[in-house]
Amino acid sequence: MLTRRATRAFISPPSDPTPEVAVKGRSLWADAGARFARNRAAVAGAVVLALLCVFAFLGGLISPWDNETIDWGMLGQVSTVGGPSLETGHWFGVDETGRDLYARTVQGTRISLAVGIIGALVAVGIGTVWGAVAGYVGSRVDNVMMRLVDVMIAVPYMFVLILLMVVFERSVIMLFVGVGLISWLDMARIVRGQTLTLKNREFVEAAIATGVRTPTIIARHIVPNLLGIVVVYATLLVPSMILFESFVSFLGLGVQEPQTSLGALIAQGASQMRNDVPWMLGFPLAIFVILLFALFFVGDGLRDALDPKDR
Amino acid sequence: MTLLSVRDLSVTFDVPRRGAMPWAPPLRLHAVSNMSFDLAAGETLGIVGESGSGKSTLARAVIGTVPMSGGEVLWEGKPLSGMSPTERRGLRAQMQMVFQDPLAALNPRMTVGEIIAEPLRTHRDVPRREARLRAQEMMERVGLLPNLVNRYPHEFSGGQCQRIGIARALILEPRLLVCDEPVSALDVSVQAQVVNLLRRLGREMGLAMIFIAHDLAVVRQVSDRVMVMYLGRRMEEGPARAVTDAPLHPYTRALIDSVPVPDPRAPRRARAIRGELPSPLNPPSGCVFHPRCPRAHPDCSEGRPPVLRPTPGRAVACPYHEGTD
Amino acid sequence: MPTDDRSRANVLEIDDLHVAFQTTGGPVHAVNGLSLRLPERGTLAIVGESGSGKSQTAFAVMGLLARNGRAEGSVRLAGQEVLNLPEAKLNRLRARKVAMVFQDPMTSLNPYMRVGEQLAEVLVLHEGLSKRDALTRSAEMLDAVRISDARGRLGQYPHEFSGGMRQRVMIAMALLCRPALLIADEPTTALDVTVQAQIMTLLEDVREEFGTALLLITHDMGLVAEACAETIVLYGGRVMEQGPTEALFDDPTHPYTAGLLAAVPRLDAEGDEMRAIPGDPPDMSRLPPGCPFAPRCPLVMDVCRTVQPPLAPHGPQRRACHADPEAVG
Repeated sequence: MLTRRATRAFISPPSDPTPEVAVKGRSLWADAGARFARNRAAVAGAVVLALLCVFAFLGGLISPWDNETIDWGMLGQVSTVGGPSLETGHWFGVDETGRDLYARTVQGTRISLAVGIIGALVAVGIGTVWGAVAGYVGSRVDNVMMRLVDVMIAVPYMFVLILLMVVFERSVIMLFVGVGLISWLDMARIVRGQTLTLKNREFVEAAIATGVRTPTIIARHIVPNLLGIVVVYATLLVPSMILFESFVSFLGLGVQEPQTSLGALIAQGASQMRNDVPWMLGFPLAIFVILLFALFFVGDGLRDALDPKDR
Repeated sequence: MTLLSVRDLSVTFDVPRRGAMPWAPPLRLHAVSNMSFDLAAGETLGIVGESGSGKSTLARAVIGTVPMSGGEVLWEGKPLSGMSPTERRGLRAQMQMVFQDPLAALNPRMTVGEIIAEPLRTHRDVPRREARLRAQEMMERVGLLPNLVNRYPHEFSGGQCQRIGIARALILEPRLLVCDEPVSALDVSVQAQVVNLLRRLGREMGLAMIFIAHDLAVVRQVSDRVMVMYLGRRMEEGPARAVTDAPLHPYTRALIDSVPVPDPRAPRRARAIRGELPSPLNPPSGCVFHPRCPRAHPDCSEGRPPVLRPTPGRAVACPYHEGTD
Repeated sequence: MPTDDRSRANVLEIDDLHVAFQTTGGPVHAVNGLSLRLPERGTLAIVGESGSGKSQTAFAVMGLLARNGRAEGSVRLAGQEVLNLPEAKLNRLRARKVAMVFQDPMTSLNPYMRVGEQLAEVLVLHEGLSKRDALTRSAEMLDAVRISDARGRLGQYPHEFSGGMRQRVMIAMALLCRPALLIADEPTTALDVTVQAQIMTLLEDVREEFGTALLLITHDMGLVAEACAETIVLYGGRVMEQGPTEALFDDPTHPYTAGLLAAVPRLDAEGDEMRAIPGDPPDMSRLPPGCPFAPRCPLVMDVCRTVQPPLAPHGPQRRACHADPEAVG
């Protein structure tokens, strides 16, 4: 039996023991996976990211407090007894109104991650298809589609988001809509550019010459070859979406109490700096920074692993 | 029987003027002008020319991946322009193409089996399993081990990739195969393998072939007839051996004299012709070859040269061709 | 290699050159044990297919190996050892003693600089000429490579030159400091045949005019026959055969040389089939333990697969082959 690592030496007929079983090929994805696994920083980033996900989605189960309940015993003396402590069950301390900061951080991380992931998913879904269709079909369709993207980029999104928040009430759904509206624009541009170069590759011409229909060409020949760059850009988009949400929340336009997000927690912590409660800023900020670093390392590792120049 | 007729085919590209306003009329690049030829079933036509001669564009216009701006292509006497979209799609199965860069012509994310079976799955309603089996049969025919069906293109050498490209082109048993410089990206020692394979399969399957190359020696080996192109125009056409052994057009002569002979004792070749291919955006007047032609007469710069037929089956677009003096 | 003309000194002497690259898949041995002598004004060709190590040999001489590459052995330019010399010293040698012409002239010319400035820069840097004198010398040099209106063309940018003209500019640039050795790495591969013929004629002419030795790296047996007195045939990073070009072409003693010569498409070929060498070029990252050509060789024996044949003299040539030389051909 040939192993998966069998290479060219075995392909040429003279040296091949002609096994009857079809040899499994090494796809470019498998190659990229192996390269990623060799990148220590990226693997560490992925592990940290996984731990943060566990923290965000399961961390609430072990806490004796939830994120809404006010610990009345703490009120009025937060700066003296509200600090992080194992005995009180407030592992990260409490905020200025006596709510458990650990539970709030868990919930905030969950919102932030969700915003980032949904932003990235919208970008991957709409942006990829939009860019691929515009780039592949070209001429007038391309013009119309990309001018629309230009117009949307030209509109100051913060203004639109504030309008959205004012007209409809502030809610998590609105935040997701706002994030979704802007996240795919750059992705569409990047994908279109990439599609333009792909479209002139000979394997696409071969498919056209064979008579493969346009939607099939886009789905089978264009999109799979775009996925490398799409995945990389999407992982880099997650932190920028999280930052975007934090900024919105910092301005006080993000999620509504008692819900919170990392950005809102950091804003609150920052405003309470004078009151001698450093944990209110410290814990959310630490989680935030760790999360961003992990995402950047993973994104970087993916880019190196998928970069065709390294092949 | 004539399989393919090309009549007066022209291809022009619009090139935007640099620095001009967007609505200014673009420059027209005549890549192919007024080409005509016939191809019989089972016949191989070699097209030779340097880069920029329009040979690849001509092939792509025939295959239909580049739009033509004038003229007509007839398949078994029926004009392509008069066909319904369904008929044209059906015709795609009859004409296939082999490309110059063997690796670039294969989708890197698909397995070899998927690549070879793609035309089959596009034109015939074949279940996945059977398509895979047919792909493996085809791999065997082009000299690849069928158990490599799940491999990816980057795991193969250049020559093997070209075999995969040939297998894909032939799986539908087409009647016309267009080969665009199929061996020029390969090592010399592998070139001959691929040329021999194309010839053998062509004969077995009764294929008509259009074989494009810049190497006259290779074209001579595979073709029944040869056409020499320069700047989108036909310079000379005739039986392969006749054209290469006794060229009539001064450009064909120059091409032959430019090929280095692998024999250190061979007499030094005649001095090369001067100049380089002029820009197709601004072709010379009259005969487009006249600025570089060693036999040029003053009137060569006026009017398109007439096409002479000195012997049956040969055509030369030069009134002062070899042997006229 | 002994040369037939012992009165001339050698401009280039290479002894037992090894070039290896560190890659993630393990070391790749690109060149293994190459030796050569190139006399003043001499011509030598290194022929091989892709991955044979022919270009890496040239890069090793020029000190231009990629960062993960290492060269061992000895390379002497006019008697001076240059292998693994520090960059500063190498820079002084380059241009004055050895210059190189590459396959794609566009990559070696700066697209944002006028051709005249690029040429003059070399002279200002290496010869310490004033800008004015350097431009005059540059114009003379363009004239020497048969570019008409040399003065006027100095002010143009590389993209205003055609492919053949750009290669002429590269040759002019290489010859500016009158080096003793010119290395041409596939100088005509990117050009059309009619232009290729012009460039080869030019190389021949300037070589005589400037008294330069020529090391031609190519895959084209036709160019070798035309331009070079001596030939080295490389395959899989090893020398298969080397010797005077005429002897090599008349009576190849290595099955690879014979196969390569037979595979060249010729205009006077008889018969239908082209002579092919079966199999594929070797994967350089996993060369067989014996002769690299063994998997494709028509005369292969058991010993070929395990023992690397030594490069031994045979008549005027040297060959690395276990098979009987009489059986080749």
